[in-house]
Amino acid sequence: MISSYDYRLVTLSVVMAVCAAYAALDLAGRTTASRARARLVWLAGGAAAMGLGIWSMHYIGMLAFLLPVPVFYDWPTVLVSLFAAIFASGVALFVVSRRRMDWGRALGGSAIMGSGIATMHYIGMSAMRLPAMCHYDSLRLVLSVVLAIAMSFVALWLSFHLREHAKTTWPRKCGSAAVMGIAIASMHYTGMAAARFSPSTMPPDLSHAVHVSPLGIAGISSVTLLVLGLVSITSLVDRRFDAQNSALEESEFLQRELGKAVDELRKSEDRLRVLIETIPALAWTSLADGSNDFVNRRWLEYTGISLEQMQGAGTMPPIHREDIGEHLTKWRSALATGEAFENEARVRRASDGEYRWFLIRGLPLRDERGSIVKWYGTMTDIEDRKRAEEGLRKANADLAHVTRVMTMGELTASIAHEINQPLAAIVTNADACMVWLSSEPPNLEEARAAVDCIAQDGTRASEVIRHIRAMFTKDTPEKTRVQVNELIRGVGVLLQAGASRNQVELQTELAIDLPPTVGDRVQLQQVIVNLALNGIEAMGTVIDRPRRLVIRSERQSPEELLVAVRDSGVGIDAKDFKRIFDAFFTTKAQGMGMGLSICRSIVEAHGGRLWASPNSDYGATLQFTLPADLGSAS
Amino acid sequence: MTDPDPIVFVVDDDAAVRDAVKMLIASVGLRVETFGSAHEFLNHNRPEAPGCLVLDVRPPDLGGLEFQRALAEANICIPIILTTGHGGIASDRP
Repeated sequence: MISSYDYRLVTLSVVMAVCAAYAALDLAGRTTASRARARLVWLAGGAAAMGLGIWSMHYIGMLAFLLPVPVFYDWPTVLVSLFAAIFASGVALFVVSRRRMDWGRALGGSAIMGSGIATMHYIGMSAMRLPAMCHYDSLRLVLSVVLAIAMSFVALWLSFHLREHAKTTWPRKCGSAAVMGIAIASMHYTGMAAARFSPSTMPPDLSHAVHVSPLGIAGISSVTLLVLGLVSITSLVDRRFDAQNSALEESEFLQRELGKAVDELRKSEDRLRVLIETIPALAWTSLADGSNDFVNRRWLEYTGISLEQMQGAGTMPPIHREDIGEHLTKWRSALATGEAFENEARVRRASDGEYRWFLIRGLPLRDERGSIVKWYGTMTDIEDRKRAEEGLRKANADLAHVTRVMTMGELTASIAHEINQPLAAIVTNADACMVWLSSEPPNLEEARAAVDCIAQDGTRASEVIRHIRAMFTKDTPEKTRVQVNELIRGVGVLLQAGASRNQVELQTELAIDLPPTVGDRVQLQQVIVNLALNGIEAMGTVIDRPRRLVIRSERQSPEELLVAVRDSGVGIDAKDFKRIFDAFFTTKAQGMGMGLSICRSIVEAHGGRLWASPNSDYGATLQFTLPADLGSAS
Repeated sequence: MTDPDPIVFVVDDDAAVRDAVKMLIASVGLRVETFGSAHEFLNHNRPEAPGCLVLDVRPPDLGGLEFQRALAEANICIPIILTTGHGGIASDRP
């Protein structure tokens, strides 16, 4: 059967295909940009419009196909083919509107879409009612299906990539639409070319069949174009709205972020406040001029000062009368110099009126120009530490006293001799005096001389006793200005007899320019006595060389003086040099091992050092330093 | 006078005691010479005169008894009166 084409309609069908393609590109973008329900609506609406476009292109193509027999169409079948077109369009839109498209999805989508379009085409063909038999050329039929799938693939690919670019240029979009449209049309005409019609004598079944007039063609075309146009316009409007929406959303997002940031800030401020209020210290801040700025709750609770009272500039914590002077001096100096502030003072506790020791510290906060903005400080309760220190000091003093008494015990024989000598001299002189007075005539001059001697000897005896007494005192250590040479001479008085008894030659080498030191004279004398006694003991077994004990004083440096006690005894074992200063370490049979340990703690409490070193020939030297009192040294 | 005046020699390391003893002996009209140590006495040129020695048991340089031996070695024969400021002689060491 001879067939021909109405080229005007062919052209119309191609235009229709291009329009449908353009709408498809447009819709892909919209569907992607939408979310949830809006997306579903876009998908459904888009699928309907695009399906309609493809379908009407197909029908116009069919109508362009002219046969020498009248052709009718079975309208329910036509309707089914429309649904196939819509379904295929839906699949296409769904695929291209996904976030990601890979080869698998693209191929799967195009297979479904292509098959859908092919299905639509061949269902549409089967809706034809005419007095002729329709045969298909199988090669062309396969080719048309493959073309449909390939065309779908190209369409999906283009739509997916074009949708991303919001600013895809209009000509480019049109170009793409043209390619897609022509591809759709070429599939259709390949399908048509697969069909061969041969005349048949059997009349066609014309129930439900309609004839399509030129008016019908016009109707289908205009409705389709109208729908596609509407879709495009809606899409355009929606895009505009969307742009506004996204601007709005962005500003809402920023607002939310700002809110979050403010919230974070508030939280961190809360955390800081909790920190400041709960740290176990009284915290405060002051302005650069020292006036009060802030105090924490603990501060208020401890001092019993109310926040209202604090508003008055420069409110001080209630510091003990005896400490306030020093405190203010230090604080003013810190304000003036900008150096860190630190002071210990007693502060009154409001709850029971007790004054407790506090360590008060402050550090300046400076701005970028280096000038002070604020002072930040804490007050820490150190009462317990202070008490422990006090107790330790007392225990040390007691221990020093006990060892001193023990030392004096060791000295008893020597002391007895020291007192006995002047007493013997007194008695002898008294006897002589008696003789002078009893002679005839009494020799008053000689008698007076004897009495003079008695007075001198008495003075000497009382001097010895005075030294001994000092060693027995249990007074709390008292710091005074001490002439160390004087101490050494006093020690000489106490030890001379003991040294003699042990055939020890006691020598002193005293520096004339020795500066005074500040300390407790009894304790310092105790140290020298202890070191000297140790030296004398160390020489107890020496018979092959002179037993000589030298107590030397020396100005070690401008700030330091040195006292060295050198013996010619047996020396100290190398392994014991460190240990001799340990408590309870002793090499003596009756020793308690406290002497040197106490000596060291006394010297260190005075700011000096005590150490032992071997002599180059015999014996050892124990020496200690003391800080010179430079304050008023002449 | 063929017989020179007798002399009392006093050896004691304690100056006060030494002076007191000297004064006491002088008060009864005897000549006195004093020495601070045993060596001082040994090195001294004694005049030829009768005398005696008042000696502290424990002078600083030589023990009292040791000193006695030294005197014997030097062939000095002189009576010695030992005194002590230490209230006992039992525990004296050589």
